[in-house]
Amino acid sequence: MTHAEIEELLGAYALDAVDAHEALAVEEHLATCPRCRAEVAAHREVAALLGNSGGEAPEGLWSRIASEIDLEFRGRPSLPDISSARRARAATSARDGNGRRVLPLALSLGAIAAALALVVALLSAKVGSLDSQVRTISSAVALNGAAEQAALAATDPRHRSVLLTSRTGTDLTRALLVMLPSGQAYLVAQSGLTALAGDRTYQLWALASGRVVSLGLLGRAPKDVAVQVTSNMTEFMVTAEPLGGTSAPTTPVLAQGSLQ
Amino acid sequence: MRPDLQSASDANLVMAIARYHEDALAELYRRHAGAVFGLARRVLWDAALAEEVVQEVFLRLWSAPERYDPERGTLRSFLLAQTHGKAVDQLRSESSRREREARDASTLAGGGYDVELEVFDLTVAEQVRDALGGLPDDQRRPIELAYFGGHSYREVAVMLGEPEGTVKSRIRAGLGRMHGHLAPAMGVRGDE
Repeated sequence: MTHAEIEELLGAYALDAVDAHEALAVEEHLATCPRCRAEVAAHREVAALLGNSGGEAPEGLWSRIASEIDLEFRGRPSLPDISSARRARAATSARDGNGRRVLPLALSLGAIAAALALVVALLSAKVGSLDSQVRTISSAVALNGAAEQAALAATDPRHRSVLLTSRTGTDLTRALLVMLPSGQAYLVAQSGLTALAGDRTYQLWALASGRVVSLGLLGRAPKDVAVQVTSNMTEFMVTAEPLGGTSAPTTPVLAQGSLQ
Repeated sequence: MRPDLQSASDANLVMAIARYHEDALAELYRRHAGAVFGLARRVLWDAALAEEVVQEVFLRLWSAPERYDPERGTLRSFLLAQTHGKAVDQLRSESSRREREARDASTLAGGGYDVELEVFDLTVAEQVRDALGGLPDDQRRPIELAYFGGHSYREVAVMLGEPEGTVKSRIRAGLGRMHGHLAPAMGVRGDE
């Protein structure tokens, strides 16, 4: 489709009034055309005003939603189940509420996990030689209000975020890393990382240009922390290591996520 | 409900959802579920189906809060866009098609849709009504049929006996024109 043909579809697209292949064509175009993106955003604002009403939600509906959530917590054995459900939903709906193209986020996680496991294994074998390069392992800065800082950072249009999740655990491990272009980053929203024994600490790692580097120690019961990242970091992960930390991961990855 | 939740912004509550704070979702439900339900019911004409949509929309916010980007607009707009998409998917499923055809036939015979908005902010409601009412009929009808009727522009073209290309252009032009009229109202959005 030409630019002009796409443009003609933008109004109908914003009202969900195009068919699936047209929606896909529009989304592909929007990914690269800020002007059309702005137009769709404007149409959607109008649509939201048209559809906005002040009524009450039906009685009893919240308790049904709350019990679904409780089921999700109790009934689902592990996070991978949730992420695969999420993946399935993302696949069926290729577009989010703002008309952005939704990349199939979790699609390649398996491949990444496999590659990462290999990298970790290779690097673990070289702990001795790396030790000579990395003598001091910093602790991440536990920060009161890191969650607020992260929320603030998330309003910066240039921020990027990575959700670290467990692939194999039986608990709902997850953490959110919010990064600013300055390199300032916040690891917040950690859940499922239970307190470790006193001789162990969680440690945050990044894969930077093919090398695993330590971003800092998170302590035995992780708090929201501030860390520094660099622009070449693409994968992030958390392991539980001996107190004092290690120069490369020596234990299985508990949670990981990759920059999209 | 804790007072700090009541005073928190929508964006901060969404962050709290990422931390599995069910209270934060409850607060967002309190703020927006009425509007979500209202739109779903309006498109689906069925309270039970509309409730399913409300449930889906809030469970999705719970399981994927990172999909909301505050930079792209208010949470209310985001939720309503999700709601509309899901309601339309539901409509287009085969099971509800027959019922809808019957309903459309009677609505068209009755002279079109009447916009009875119960917008929470009456000033905005009035502006929206004026902006829509101020459109020429040939722009207003396709917008109403597409948005509230959940019809594709192709279906609208058949219903109105107009060429598809004409309907596409009129929807776009009408929305553009409404945006111009509503620019002052855009600042008064559904965040409360």
